Amino acid sequence: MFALITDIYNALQHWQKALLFSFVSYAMLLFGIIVAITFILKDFNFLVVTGLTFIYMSTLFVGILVARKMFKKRLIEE
Amino acid sequence: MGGINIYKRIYLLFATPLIPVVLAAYYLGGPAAGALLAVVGVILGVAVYRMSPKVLLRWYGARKMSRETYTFIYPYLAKISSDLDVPMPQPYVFDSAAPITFTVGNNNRYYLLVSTASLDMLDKDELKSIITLEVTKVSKGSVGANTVVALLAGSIASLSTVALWMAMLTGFGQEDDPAPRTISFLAMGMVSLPSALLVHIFTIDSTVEADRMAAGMMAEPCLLAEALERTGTYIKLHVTGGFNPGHAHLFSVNPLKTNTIFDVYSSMFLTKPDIRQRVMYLENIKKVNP
Repeated sequence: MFALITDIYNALQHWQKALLFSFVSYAMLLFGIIVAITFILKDFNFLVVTGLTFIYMSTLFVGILVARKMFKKRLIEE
Repeated sequence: MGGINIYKRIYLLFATPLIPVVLAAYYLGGPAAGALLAVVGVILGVAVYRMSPKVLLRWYGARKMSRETYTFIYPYLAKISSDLDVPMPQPYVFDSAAPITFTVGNNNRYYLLVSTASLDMLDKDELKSIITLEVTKVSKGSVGANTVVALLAGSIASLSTVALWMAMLTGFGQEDDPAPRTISFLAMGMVSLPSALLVHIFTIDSTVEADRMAAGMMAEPCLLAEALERTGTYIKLHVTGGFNPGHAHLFSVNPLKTNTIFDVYSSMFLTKPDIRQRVMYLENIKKVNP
């Protein structure tokens, strides 16, 4: 399994790796937002967190796909 | 975006964030709030556009080039600007270990920034060829849009440095320790995407046209190829980063490198053709027009 992940990672170009790390960074921001919301509401509200996660991750996914399309078209690869 | 002219591009750059903010203000505070925010946004946009060259001059700590020290630069700039029928860029010099040269400006006021390393490394003819290249960029009309995008994209990209400093000041360790570097890496992941998108959507890359035009204007087109090759090789071998990726589209040679995983985000900002391709292209021009 790890070998497969390593192979896929190594097959990626630099800009694709950058896009992947950007995706991870934004996903980590969502974790911070969920923690903040839980502190503000003083309780873990499953419905609110699920709804927020769905909207946030959908927007992020669409954003990353748009960025990927744009980079593929305009980026000069090394 | 290739077909959109420069002014439409700049309007679009400022209108894209302004429209949702104005609509939100209209929804929350009524027509007066919406109109007020639209006026404030337009004034801010005009101010940022007009001030962007001066801010970038300050960013690089550039100072006016002395006529006495660099005697040939002023007359050569005046001649080449007059040949191309463009306003003469004011030459500035800034301290940098990398041989980079670029032009900023708008509204018929342009500034040519030459690093101290360029002045030290390149000989007189090579420097002239690089100056010709920069003035041809002014004649192509791409400098205004590229300057304001450099200011905005550069400001966004430098937020990762703020994150690094905050991590260091809050006791996560020194600059090379794993924790601040990881925080900076994650922050760069967040800021480099919008910054790179700004660069790709709103800048105008006139590198190939400018190379061709500058080579055509030189008595010896191979000088430009030599200057670009020397600059590119020097940066590749001796320069160890320290560039704001949001400014890379301004430079005559791309200084960004991806040596380690921490530099991986630089790869999102590559808008210029590879230096070998540019040199090869210029050498082919020489063969066609010997």
